[in-house]
Amino acid sequence: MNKSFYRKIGFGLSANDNVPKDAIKWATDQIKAMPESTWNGPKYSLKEMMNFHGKYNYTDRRVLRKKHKNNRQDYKDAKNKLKYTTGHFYFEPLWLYKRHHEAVNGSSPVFHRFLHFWGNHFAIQKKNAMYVYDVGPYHFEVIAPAMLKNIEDLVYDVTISWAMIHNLDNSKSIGPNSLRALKMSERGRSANLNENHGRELLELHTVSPRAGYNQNDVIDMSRVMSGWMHKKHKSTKKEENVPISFQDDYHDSGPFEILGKKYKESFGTSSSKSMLRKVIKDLVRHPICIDFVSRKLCNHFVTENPPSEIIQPVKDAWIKSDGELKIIHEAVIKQALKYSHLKKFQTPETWLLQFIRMSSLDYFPSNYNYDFKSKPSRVIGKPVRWLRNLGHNPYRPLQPNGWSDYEADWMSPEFLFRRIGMIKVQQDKKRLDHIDKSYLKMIVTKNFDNESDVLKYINSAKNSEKILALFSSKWMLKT
Amino acid sequence: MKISRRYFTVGSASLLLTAASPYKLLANNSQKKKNLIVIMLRGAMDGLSAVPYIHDNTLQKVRPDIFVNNNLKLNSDFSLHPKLNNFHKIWTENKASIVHATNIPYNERSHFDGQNLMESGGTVPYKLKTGWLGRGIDVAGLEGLSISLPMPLLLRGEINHDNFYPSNLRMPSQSMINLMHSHYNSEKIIKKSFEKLTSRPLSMMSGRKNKRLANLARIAGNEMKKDDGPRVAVFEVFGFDTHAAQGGADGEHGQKLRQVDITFASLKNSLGKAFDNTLILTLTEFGRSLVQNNGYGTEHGYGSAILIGGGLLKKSQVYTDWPGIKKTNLFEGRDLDSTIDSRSVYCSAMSVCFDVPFKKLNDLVFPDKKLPNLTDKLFNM
Repeated sequence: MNKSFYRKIGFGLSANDNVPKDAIKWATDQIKAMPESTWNGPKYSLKEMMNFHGKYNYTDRRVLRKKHKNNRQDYKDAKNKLKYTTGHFYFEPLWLYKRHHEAVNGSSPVFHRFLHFWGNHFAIQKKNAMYVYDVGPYHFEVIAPAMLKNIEDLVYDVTISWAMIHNLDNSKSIGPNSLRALKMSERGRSANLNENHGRELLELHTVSPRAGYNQNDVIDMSRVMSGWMHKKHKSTKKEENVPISFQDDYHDSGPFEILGKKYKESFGTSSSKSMLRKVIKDLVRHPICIDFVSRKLCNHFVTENPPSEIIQPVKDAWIKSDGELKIIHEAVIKQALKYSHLKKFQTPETWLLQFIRMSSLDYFPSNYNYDFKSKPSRVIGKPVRWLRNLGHNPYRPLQPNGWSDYEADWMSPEFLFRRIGMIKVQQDKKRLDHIDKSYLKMIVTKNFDNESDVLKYINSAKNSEKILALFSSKWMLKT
Repeated sequence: MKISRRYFTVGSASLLLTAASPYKLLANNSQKKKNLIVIMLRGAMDGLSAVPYIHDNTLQKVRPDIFVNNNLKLNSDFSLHPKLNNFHKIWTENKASIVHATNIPYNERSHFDGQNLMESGGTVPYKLKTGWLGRGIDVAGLEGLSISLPMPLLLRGEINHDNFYPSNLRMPSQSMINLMHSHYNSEKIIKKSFEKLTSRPLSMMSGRKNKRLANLARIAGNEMKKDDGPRVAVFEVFGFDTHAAQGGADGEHGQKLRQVDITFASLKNSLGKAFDNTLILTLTEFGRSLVQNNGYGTEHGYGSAILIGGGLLKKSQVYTDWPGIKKTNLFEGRDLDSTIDSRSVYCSAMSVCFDVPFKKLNDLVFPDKKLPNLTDKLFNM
């Protein structure tokens, strides 16, 4: 029973998956350690990706723009060539393929569902070329390892990550009382805080506006965060390939007051540097933060607008374990099973991955080779194209609050049409011909408690539209 | 009176049109359905290239390699980029205006923050999570349809809007559609979406592949001229960020202006008589630096210009409180200054097109409560 559980916290069961004997054990085993990667394509580190990003940006800005200033077409051609050599059309689909491969073919779909959740919670909005080069490795290198630690570590690691600092402009923030500001004022220049990152840390990542912070809290949060920035290179002004470090001369000295709590710094860099962690430590223990994030988790994995009896056990697990993510995740998993009869609307990408996993659609290419000299093949570009068609690319959220998790935002005539049309294309192109009647019955038996209802509905469709009927059904859209 | 409407957006990126109230139900038949169209110019449109200041030769001097010589005449102070020749025709019919030296109150030159603010209508980046047009539509009690995937922030309101965007995808068989109708019956939101999807007009179901601006503008215009058709549309044109090879008449910026021009022309053409009850306005995040850079382009700036077309304009004019472009007049010594908060132009346009008092829109849509009302300066009430 409760087979919708495997879609609620995973991507459904494929023809090769056995129905687990103990659903909770099956799921919790996946979140206790870093799952082994099943990815068989090329591997790149975040650092390498930042170098590609830097090469793309600075070759364009410092070389091509000057070299081809007289000729629009020459400039366009040269820029395209640069895009090939830096993998500009290659890396985004490559990282999406890895993401999808772990979800569809991996043995830890539950871990990856949680990774997708946190990736959206700590969203990197579409801005310059980060979605091409950096968001994928940021998810795998920064968020994934922290999911095995404390929520405090996760928030902290994300906050000082290159991706988030770069995305929310903390390098542009200068403490008004910092040494740097002093030097600048001597030269008649004013130094300003950039409140972007400080505000989003409060609003989106931890306590949410419900905690009742005001502009002074935002300013003090930004002052605490000042100094966390791209390591300055004196000769160059490059940022894309420069790691983050704490620079005391940009940091505003205390005291600070955030949400009624006062923080004092003692003399010295180490005290200044540790201030951010101290504040985050308190933020993730704030009752509104615990409620806000637990609610968001339940809204994602259990049902939309969950009542407090669903959220409470997750909050309890958070408080009792003092923020251990494994324990929090386990509590969410248990609620997802307990309330598996409640429906939750699945966002387009999750639905797509469930479609691919459950139908065993031939989605992945045989290799991911690329020559860095020409436009990548259509096959390589597939994930970007498909996600664009569905209107939901996880690497390209338009706002720092990530993609919506509500049915009303995703269910419109066009969004529904895109899903239906996408299955129809796969069917028309004969990519689902391996699914005969008995295969289809097996998928239904594995994934649905109301097997006979589902089969009855599918069987009322004509043969060529049976698979379309299943995957566009209300049971797949809402799980 | 209960008024049901739909609207939708299309674009080259995206178009949204909002639907009209069914005016046949209105007692006073003299009240015409009015349309509002916004064309977002992403990347920062160079107001000084689109509408150059020609009163003296300052611009020629500081932009020797990108100044356009064969501009179209507007008046003794300003001319128009030659790629805007269709817009110029509209000007000669007394149905085009320019608001110059204007911008949203944002001067920090980041595209991301700037585009966020031009759409949200706020003053602090990312603080507002909805768009000024979406909120305006909500205030006017309209329901919307965005022609984009996903919907631009500009159109986001509290109420969800419908959306549409051309694709190559096709619907299943009629028998499958019938099955799905009854299958979705128990799911309120899905059912409503599916019903809307299957009752779309043919114009939205055919020629779906053609995503070119001219075609999207034609679809939008044809839908909007109907009495019960959409009332608001949003388009997007990308690529105004010309740091290099901006060029003169045939340069990259000129090519982009041509796209805007085609959109104006295609809309005017397809709207027909309804053009007289329409306002079309451009929207960009900021202008570009006065002086050309060493890549024959321009850097991010501040003040820019708004191009407006449509029969609801009072007359053809360049409306400006011109700050001048001598060194001492410039913002931070480098950019055309902004002397008009562009949001007052948009708020005035919404007031005219939605028949909602300016003050009410100002209070409910924008965080700054004292925008100047430019309605009688620019538009025909």
